[in-house]
Order: sequence, then structure tokens, then C-alpha cells
Amino acid sequence: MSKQVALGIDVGSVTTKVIFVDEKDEIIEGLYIRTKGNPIDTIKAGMIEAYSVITSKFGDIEVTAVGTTGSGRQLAGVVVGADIIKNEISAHAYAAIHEVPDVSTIFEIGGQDSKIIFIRNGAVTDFAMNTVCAAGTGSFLDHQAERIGVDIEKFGDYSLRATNPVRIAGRCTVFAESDMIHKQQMGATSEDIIAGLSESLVRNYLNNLARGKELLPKFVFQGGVSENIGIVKAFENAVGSEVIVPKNNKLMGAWGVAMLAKREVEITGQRTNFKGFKVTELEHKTRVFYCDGCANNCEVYEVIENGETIAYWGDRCGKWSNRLTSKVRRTERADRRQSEEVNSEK
Amino acid sequence: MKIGIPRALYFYVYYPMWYGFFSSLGHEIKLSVPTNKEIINLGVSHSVDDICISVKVFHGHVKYLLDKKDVDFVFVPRIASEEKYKYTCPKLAALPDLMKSAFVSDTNRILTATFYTRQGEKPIVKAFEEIERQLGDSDEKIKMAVKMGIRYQKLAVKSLRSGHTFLDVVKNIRDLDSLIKKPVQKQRYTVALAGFPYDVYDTFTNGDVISKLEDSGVGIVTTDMLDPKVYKHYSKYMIKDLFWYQANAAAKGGMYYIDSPDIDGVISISSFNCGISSIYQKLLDLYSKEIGKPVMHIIVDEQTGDAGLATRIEAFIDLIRVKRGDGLVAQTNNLHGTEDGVHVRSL
Repeated sequence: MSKQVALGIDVGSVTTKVIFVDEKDEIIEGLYIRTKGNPIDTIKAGMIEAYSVITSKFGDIEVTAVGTTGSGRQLAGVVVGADIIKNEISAHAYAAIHEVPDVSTIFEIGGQDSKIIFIRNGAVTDFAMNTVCAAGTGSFLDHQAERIGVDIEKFGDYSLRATNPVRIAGRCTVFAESDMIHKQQMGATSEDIIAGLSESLVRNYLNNLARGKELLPKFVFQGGVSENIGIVKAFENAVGSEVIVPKNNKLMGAWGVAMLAKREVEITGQRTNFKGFKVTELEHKTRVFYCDGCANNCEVYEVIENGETIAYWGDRCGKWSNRLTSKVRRTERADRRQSEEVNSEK
Repeated sequence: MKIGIPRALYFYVYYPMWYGFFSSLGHEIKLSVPTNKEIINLGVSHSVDDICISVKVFHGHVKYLLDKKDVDFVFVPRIASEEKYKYTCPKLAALPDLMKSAFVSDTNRILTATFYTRQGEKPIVKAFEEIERQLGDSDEKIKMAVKMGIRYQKLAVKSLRSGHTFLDVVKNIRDLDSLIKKPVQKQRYTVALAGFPYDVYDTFTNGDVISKLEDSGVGIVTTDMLDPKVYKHYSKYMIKDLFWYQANAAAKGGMYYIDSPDIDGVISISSFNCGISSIYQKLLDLYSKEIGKPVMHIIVDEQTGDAGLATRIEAFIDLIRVKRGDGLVAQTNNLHGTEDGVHVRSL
């Protein structure tokens, strides 16, 4: 009998995660790749690679459930045929609770956004996400690493060697940069600056997201930035308690949604929507166009599989997305809008 | 005469009054279209830089109406006060002046009057008399028209109290009596929206929070549906009332909903840069911490991409689902297992 696995895909802004879990919800194969502008190709490449690794390890496999999450979850979901498309907050929280059942606070910092999730008694009670700008996220660190000329992977070690971290403005990359240049010219070492940077990132994160909310242990820190031991230490200093970095720290979102997809299929009793690994051979195109139906000029996204449109989104009224399904609520919404427009024209 | 009414700011509170007044005098009413990208662009390019998006949007609606050559006047009332000792936000109180300075060549087409709406009928009559001096109707007719205006406003308030949103009121303005009788369908989950009516109901600027919730099977209630009497006692919690009626409605109404057992969560909606919103949001934060009900804040600005908003709302719905013991998976109204915004062809 072939091995039964569930597939989880987390399409983030900077990296894409593709993982397989077995019957016991353990990750048996996980990939962490840069998204590089074209998410569909990245997902396909990830699936092909993961497939070859996993079949060489376990022989034949059967995918029983598929889940997608991350900011590209909708695109990934329609391309591979997902059983569940879940927002990244729920997916991350689900995996963290699975790994550390008595967790109370989850820090999650990824490439473009950062989140804090509050858990009480195994359920999410509150969450916050960073606002518009990407200060205090992976991109911010990436950018600064490049500027200082230190490999991002070595950032953690550098900050651990620091003796006297300098204070750096963390709210905005522009201010941080001028601050860093100034401190460098005053004679601060790279170690002290990197440690100062880590502290400022954590300070900024806690000020922006935690905003006077109660931070209770246990703390779990996940997402790409949790790889950085310097940031972990800065978090521990700030909250005054141990901060757990789970073993699959970079893959938590994909892991969470793979488990959720399994639950979904178990409950509905339906066969998976997964289109099979043949999707990697299909041709997928995306098209963006401006709808000229009204003054909103919505950016409408169209996903085309082998010449056939499989999904639309982005339209506010449902004019395009309704073409593929006759969802009653959607139509109602379009009607409502139309009558509003008509009324106002009177 | 043709009177243009901008669909922004106090439109979402007093439109029925204005409708009753102008229509009973036989004037034709021209509403601006619901906010869209074009209106936002117009507003942003005609307003000063550092005001909130809601006032910028108002600029856009006024410009839209001024550009219609058949509109004789654009109605820009100055709502000075809605309750004794309470005054409106200075930007709103200065609206006619802001408009006159933004659209200098059209100042004579801006129709204005100063309203003190919660101090009995007299000030309202006075305000409308001020308008009519500009339009030239007889005193008799004005008295009748004011009565009509007040009657419409009362019916609108009654519709709100029976659970209909202001958007329903606008849609059914000609037949509010039957709207009042129409029952509101109860959903499994109910989320309360706290905020100024113009932030809650401007579906374009706020990324259509109302439809996003309704599409996921969540019913909504808003703070303007509440009779101020029911949340009066929350003044004690705040030590002192806020100085603006609408801010009190958002703060205390939000607290009232936090305390209501049949409300699953509260979402506050405000525009970026709004000073008083940051105060009532903090008050709601503190209060929700005591009671333990989920509260989320949505702060809107010019952005139109709504991926971040969708994520927040989806996660908020997940949160209240789990709180009710419904779990994260197998949504009954969602056969393909996808969430709002995507439709997958059945396979």
C-alpha cells in the first residue's frame, strides 16, 4: 500500500514552504524556497523536488489532503486544488498549539509581515499584524545585512559576540540606516551594531503589536526570522522568560494548514480536491486586468489553466467571480450594489 | 431646484432628515455615487494633506457633484453639535469653510447651514430657514418641510433600532414604514461594528467589511442601532464623557456590545489619523480585556489592496468560531473548502 500523506503549502511574500505530513501529523519532508516573483513556478518546482525526495524515501505515496496558506494562499489553492485555504494566523496558531500545547503567546516574523497571536486554553483569543510598512520584519534585516556586508545567516552569531549593543531606531528602515551609519562612524563595531539592530527590531515589534497586552509564558517564536539566534536572545531579554523556537520553526504555517486539511477531509468525508502531481506539467498563466464596468476599476486577477479560466478574484462586485459559480450570496451582493448605483443615479 | 448631497460623513446619519426636507419642498435630490476609486482620487487631489481619509473622501463627493452642471447647489451642512455640551470634530464643524477654500470658483454653489440637532426642533428650524433664505421658499412651506424632515429622521432611527443598517435605510428611504416591519434574519454568529457611521458604512473605503462578514455567514450590528440610553452608564467606566457625540456612541456602544452575550466579537473601524478614534479604541481594548470578548481594530487609509484586511477578518471569524466550539474546519456554507474571495470550479 502506498504511504498516505497530506500536503501543506505556505506561499509567503519572500519564501514558499512545501511540506508533507504522515499519518501521525509529523513532517516527513519539508522544503523552504525563495518565492522569487513567480509563485506558481516556485510551487511547482517545490512540489517536483519534494515529490522526488519523498518517493525515493517511501516509495509510492498517496496525497489524501491538501491545504494552502500564506499571502498567496488563494493562488496556490486553485492551482493545486486545495481542500482548505486558511489564513496564516489560524494556520500558524494551529501548528504552534500542536507542538507546544500550553503556549500562551506566539511571535511570528516572516519576510513582509509580523504577527503576534495570543492563545488561552488552546484557542486563539487575540492577534495583531503589523500595519502597512515592513519595518521589523525579515526584509528589514535582509536589507541591513546587505548594507553592513554580513551574511544574513551569520547575523545571529555576530550579535551574540556583541559586548555593548548600540541603540538604533527601529521604526523605519530609513531612520535605522542613518542611525547605523552614524554609529559606525563613531566607531561602533559591526557586532555591536547588529546586536543593537536585533534589539531595536524586537522593541519595535513589541511596541507595535503587543501594545500593552498581557504577555504570558510560554512564548513560541516562529517564522523565518526565528532562525536568528540574536533576535531570539533579544526577545528573551525583552520578555524576561524563555522563548521556545519549535523544531519546524520555518515551516509552521504549512504544517498547520496540512493538519487542518486532514481534519477537513476527515470531517466532510469527501475525496481530496488535489489535482495530483500532474499539475506541475499543466500550463498556468495569470492575467491581471482592470475591469471597466464602473468607476472602481478593480484589478481583477484571472488564473488560466491550459487555456481555461479556473478562477477570478479581486472584483468588488462579483461580476467576474460569479461567472464560475452561481453562489447566491455573491449575486445578492452584486444586486445590492447595482441597486445602490441606480438609486444614486436617480 | 436640484440639490446635490454628498454621500459621505454626516450623510450616514442625517440623510433621511435632509431627504424629507428637500423633497417636500419639491426640490430634486441628486446623491453622489457610493465612494469609488475616482471619488477618492478627486478627494485626495483637492484636500489638504494631513486630514483623515473620511474628510478627503468628502472632498471627492463634493467635487463629483460640483462637476455635474445640472446640480444647482451642493449641500454641505455644518453639524456643530448633536448633544448638549458635546461638539463635533473640528474638521467636520469646519466643513463648509473647508469646501469653500478647496473649491474657490464654486463657493456660491455650496449651500450651508449650521445645525444643533439635539437641542429640540427650534435650532433645526432655524438652520433650515437659513438654507431657504438662500433658495427662496416661503415660511409656511419651510415649517411643513422641517416637520417632514424630522418625521423621516425619526422613522430612520426606528429602522436602525429594529436592526436594519443605515445602508438599508438609504435604499428604502421612500418606504421606511415597511422596512421597520421587516424582520432581520439572525445568523449563527453576530459581530458588532463600532465606529463612526461614515467609517462603518463607506463600503469602498473600509474594504467592504460588512459584505466580507455577511458572505462568511456572520450577521452584523452597528453602534448607531443602539439607543444612547442603553449605554449611558458606561460614562462611569470612562470617568468622563468624550466631547463628541459620535465618539461616545462608538466607545460606549462598543462597550455595550462587549457586554452583550449574543454578540461574538466587536470590530472597530476608523480612519487613519483620527485622533479621537485612537482614544475610543484604547477604551475598547481595556474594556475587552476585563470582559474577555474579542475586539479587533481596522484602520483604513487610501489603500485598495485588501489581502491584509481579508486575512484579519478571516482570522477573526476563525477566532469566534473556535470560541463557540465550532472548530477551524469544515465550514458548512463553503463546500469547496475555500474562503471568501475565491471560487473554485467544482472538480
